Amino acid sequence: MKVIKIGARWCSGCLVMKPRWVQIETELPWLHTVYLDFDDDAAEVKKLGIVADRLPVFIFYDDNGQEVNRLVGEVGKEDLISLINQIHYKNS
Amino acid sequence: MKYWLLGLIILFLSWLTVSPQVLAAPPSPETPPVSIYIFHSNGCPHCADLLAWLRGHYQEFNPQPTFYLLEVSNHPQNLRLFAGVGELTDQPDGGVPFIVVGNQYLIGYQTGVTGLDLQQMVSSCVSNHCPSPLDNIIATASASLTDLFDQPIAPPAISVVATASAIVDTDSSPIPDLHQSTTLPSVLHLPIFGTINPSLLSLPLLTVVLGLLDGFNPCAMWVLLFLISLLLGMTDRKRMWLLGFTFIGTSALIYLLFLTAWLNFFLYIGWIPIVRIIIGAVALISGYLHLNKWRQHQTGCEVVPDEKRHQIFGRLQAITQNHNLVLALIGIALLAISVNIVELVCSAGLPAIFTNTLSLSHLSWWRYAFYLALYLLMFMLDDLLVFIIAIKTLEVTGISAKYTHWANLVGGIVIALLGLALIFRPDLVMGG
Repeated sequence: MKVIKIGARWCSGCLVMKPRWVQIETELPWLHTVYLDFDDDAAEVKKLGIVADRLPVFIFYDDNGQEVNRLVGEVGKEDLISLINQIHYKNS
Repeated sequence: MKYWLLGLIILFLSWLTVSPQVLAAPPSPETPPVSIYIFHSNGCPHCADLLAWLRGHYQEFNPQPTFYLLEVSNHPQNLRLFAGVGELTDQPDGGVPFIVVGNQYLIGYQTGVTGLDLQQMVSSCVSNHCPSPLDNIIATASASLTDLFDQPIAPPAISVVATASAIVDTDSSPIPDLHQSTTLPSVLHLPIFGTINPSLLSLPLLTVVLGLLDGFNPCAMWVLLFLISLLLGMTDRKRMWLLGFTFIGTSALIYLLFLTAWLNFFLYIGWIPIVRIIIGAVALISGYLHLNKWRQHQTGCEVVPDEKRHQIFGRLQAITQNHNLVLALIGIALLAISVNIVELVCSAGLPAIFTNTLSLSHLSWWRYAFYLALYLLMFMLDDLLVFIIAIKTLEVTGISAKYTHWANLVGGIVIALLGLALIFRPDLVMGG
């Protein structure tokens, strides 16, 4: 399972989410995450069809590489873990 | 002889400037004259109650005093006189109505209490002969107003509702101190804080709430966050502090100028009722918008348009990479000015509401300065915290939008209530 995280250096909400993701990645070592910067990785962000007017954005993919969910804004750590487990165990 | 003649001339000139409405009993030569000075404000219900009571009861005073009504919201010279009296009585936030009888004063009006207090104070004044520091000032109008204040001011706009003994002592004896009446109905005596006017207790709280609400928008600090991300790549700590504080300091200065301009604007025209009502309406709309934001509960930050973002990023990079520190500091200050001037247009509402409320409180200049500084500190608090923590820890941290969420709720309610007060109960914010 994979999560793409899209954020920016100038976005306060994105900075708030950073340590939460570090904790989640430590607790769920099997989770594959990729970070894309809204400015530095603009081309890849556009390819993903991000026309977001708000950041951060998190895109969740199942084991088959299918996008299953998108979240925008600050999300609590427990809510994220719950969603990730739901997607992960649904596939396995 | 000279003083007697001068007194007569001044008395005559005073008559030219006053509008006596009622002349009651003839002066009594046996009793010393007593003057009652009442600082009041248009739109203040407690003042209206007091004046209504006076008009109905002035004949009950024995002996009959001279009443001087000094309206402060419509007459800048009276306001300045009031500020001077506030300093003299150590009541710079005194509020209106502010009543001076001899060397005692009362703040506020309470039905059934203030009238009796006033009558007792007049009787006491007659028995003990208590000249008021204001006697000379009012009597000599423009000639002696420099005695108490730093700069000359125009003669106060005085209207006399009743006069029985308008003889004014114009001698230059030392000015006695004013003492607060022991039967104050509208002030609190607290152990540590001293004498406090409860109607003004909310002003510091209001300043903190509005300042925090105005400044607390983590997403609005995107320029600072980008600057910090560039600064963290540097090795020179001193340069990091200097550039960061120059940016924050210049932003604060621009905002202070903006607040001062609003305050001065309202000090000149804020007394016009329609201005207060317009600002009240702005507050109601602003309160609704904040509550609506709270209801929508959107998290995350809005993406700043690409062109604007890239332009500012480019300038920031060029500035921080400049080897000449002086040029870099000038550049960062100019950038802060340009960024903040653009932002001012978007955030005019809260400063206007705050400064209008402040202007209605009739404070001394240093109190205005204090409240502006407090507002500014609250406004810049999140920026300061984020910057200092980032430079200390060398790691940039964001502020969660959940605080903004609750700030929108609390702030929305406070601003909406303030709007209602400005429209329907201005006395609640006028210290009356």
